[in-house]
Amino acid sequence: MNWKHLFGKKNKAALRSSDPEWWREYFVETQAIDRNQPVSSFMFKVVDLETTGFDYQSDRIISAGVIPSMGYELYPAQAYHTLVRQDFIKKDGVQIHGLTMRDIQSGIEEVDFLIQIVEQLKGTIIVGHHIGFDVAMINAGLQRHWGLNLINPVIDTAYLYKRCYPIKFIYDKYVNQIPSLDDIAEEFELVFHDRHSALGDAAITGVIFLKLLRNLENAKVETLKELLQ
Amino acid sequence: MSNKAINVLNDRIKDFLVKFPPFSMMTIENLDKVLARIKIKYIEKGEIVFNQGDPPGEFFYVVRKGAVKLERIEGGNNILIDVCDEGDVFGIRPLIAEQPYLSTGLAHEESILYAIHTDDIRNIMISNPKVGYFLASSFAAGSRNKKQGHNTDGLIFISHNQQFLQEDRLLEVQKLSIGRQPISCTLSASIQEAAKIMTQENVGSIVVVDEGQLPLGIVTDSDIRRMVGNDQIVSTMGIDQIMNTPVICLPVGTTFADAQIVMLQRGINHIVMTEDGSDESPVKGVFSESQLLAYQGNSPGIIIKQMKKTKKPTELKRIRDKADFLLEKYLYQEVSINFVSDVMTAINDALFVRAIELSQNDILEESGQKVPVRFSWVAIGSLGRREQILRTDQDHALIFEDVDDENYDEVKAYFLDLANRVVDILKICGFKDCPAQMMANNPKWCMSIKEWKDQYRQWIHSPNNESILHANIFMDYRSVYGDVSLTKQLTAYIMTMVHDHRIFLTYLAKYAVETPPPVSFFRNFILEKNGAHKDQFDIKQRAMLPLVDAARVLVLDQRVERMNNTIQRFERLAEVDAKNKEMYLDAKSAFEVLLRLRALNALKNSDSGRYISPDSLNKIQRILLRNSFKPIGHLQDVLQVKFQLNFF
Repeated sequence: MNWKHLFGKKNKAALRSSDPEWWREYFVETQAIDRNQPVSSFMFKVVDLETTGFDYQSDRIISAGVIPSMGYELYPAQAYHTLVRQDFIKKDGVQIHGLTMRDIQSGIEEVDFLIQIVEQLKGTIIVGHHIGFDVAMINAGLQRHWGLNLINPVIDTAYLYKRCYPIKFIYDKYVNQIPSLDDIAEEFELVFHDRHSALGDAAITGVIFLKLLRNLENAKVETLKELLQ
Repeated sequence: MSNKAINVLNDRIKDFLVKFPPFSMMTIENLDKVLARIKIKYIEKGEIVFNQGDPPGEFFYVVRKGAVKLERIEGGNNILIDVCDEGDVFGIRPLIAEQPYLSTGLAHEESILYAIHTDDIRNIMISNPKVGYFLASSFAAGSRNKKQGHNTDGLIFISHNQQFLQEDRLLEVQKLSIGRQPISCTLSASIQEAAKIMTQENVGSIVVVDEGQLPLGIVTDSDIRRMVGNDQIVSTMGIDQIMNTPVICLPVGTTFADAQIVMLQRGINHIVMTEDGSDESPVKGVFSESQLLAYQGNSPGIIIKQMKKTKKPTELKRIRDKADFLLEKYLYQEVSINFVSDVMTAINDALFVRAIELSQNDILEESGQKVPVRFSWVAIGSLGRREQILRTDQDHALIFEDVDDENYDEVKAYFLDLANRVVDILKICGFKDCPAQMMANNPKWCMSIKEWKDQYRQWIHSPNNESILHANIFMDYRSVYGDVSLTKQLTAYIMTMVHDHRIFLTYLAKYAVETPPPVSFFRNFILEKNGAHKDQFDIKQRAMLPLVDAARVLVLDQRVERMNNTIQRFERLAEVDAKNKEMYLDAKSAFEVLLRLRALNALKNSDSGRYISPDSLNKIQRILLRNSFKPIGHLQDVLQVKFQLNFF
């Protein structure tokens, strides 16, 4: 899957006079990110979404987990987690994340969720596994309601993994595929929080991120720019 | 927000923390406070969390996964103080004193930590004295006696908290129970009254106490006897006239050894136990020499003597049962495992010998048949290696002298009959049938010396998977009864042949590397994935046998003869293959640890001890077990190179 076209616009993005105040704040602070600063100086947000399916145009976000991370630490106490109310739900998705219709109905409105997640991501670097999809889902929502797209720098742990262990992609089982979160978690023996809940997956992604980050630091990756390569 | 599972992550962290002190002592409110500022920290191997001399930090740590070691530089030497693993708390100095760290904390392996803000817990310490007490005492523990661990790193371990030690019952068993309830009288009692109480209670001594139960004196049978003998006594005299005073007291919890020494030194045979060991605190119990003797009655020498006199299999079992109490005592007293296995082997051997003698007698009485030719009853497998601490499967075989063809059937029939009877007695005594029927009552393993030589030649000349399996078990044989010259003859034959057929050793080596060291990425145990022992650790298959198999092939390769015991094999290997000395000594300690853990596990679960639930181990045991895996990998590397197994 190729999500590039969705955040390809980010460099050209600019504030419009019609943009709401919460977006202006987000935009200014996020745009100010200086990619030449050391990796350890940034606030990262590890994001995982649960959705009704894998089509970012027709499917919807039903829950989100966000864990802040800075300086090789995760801050679970400052984690953000919410359910999002959606009237439209495909049956098969429920199986994976174990959320029932009633759970979903107890969630907050999508509009409120989008405003909250934008606030969460303000001035931070987004981290996630196959994060392109999650960003695309959020952008699809932002587009529907306000015609907006996120402008955060984005780090995909699947890509970082490939960068840290290139050898596995030549000789090993991942010849033509990028390992799933489950695969990496199993390899690292990290299945110690609830899997398949947004916050549980975010926590695992977070630990994998810290490990890979340390790995890259040892390979002399110092600035955000180098990390984003 | 009315969200379900809003704090699923915090809940999981909480679930983890409550398993360990001091969090286990906290209220829900306390824990919520801790979680409000908790951080998850990832550290790679060798990464430093804090340095000795650093000013106190804002956080202290709990190991979530992995292990962290604490080191201190003292007089130029780097001293390892502790290794913290899952659930251990470290870096608490900032909590107690605004002083620099006294040690350096660094990742012993890749780890995940929870970092907890000191302010949060400081408030809890004030409101929850148990937490405060725990942390203060762990902190004080920094200067506690250091105990040399048996582990392979030569590390020094200090247990973090006394709770674990208590679980271990290390001290309890060593100590005397308080003996019987003290029988006492007051100072106003007459000698006759006192004697009456002693007779009624059927005791050999009476303690004279004041109203506060403080001991004023003690009178024993022998005192009264002596007085009567010397005609110095009038029964209406006050007890104070004849009592021994002051009373020699020991505190509750005195060890067996201490009590015995005091009795010998003072020439007394009753010891009064008081609360604090002085005669200024209340009497708690009385211990007599006869009780001490009863303790000693379970000595190995007495058990073996009793076995030799026994006529009935059921009686034999009863005596063998006593040996398990002895074993338990030894294990909890941390007696050297070599000594323990020597003693248990001696006891098991005595039982085998007695079972064989009784069976021979039975045959003689029933049919008048005598033993037709010389034979040797050999123990194989773990009993052959003198490593069978527990009553597990029976593994044995029988070798008899070569006989003429016409007599062969009759002779073999006799020995099979004998073996059947022995197997039955052993079964009564608690040794199960060998599931693979590797027993002397199996015609395949009850053979003449010539047949045995043929059998070994076949194994050695044309090794395959099945024959290697057999060879591994039958290589570790040891004569427990009969004519040793038969086994000697066999050994000489085997040793010559082994060295002419190196391919056999290569097969043995290949077999020995087949079970890899049982640790994975975060150095957790590999547990059984299926079956009745799901989620348990198979200590025999995954940890002990790889060491046993490696030792065997290496010893054979070095032409070391008739050395069956795994520990001795490693000791010998350390001598003859000096460049790998460290590794062999590590392997030896690892095997000792495994033997001990398995035996403890067996006693705890009343089974073979083979399957261990990692949760049932305490922290020290877990680390010891994990460290014992390390030499397995090293040994297997050596085997790979030595026998070029990569090309095999």
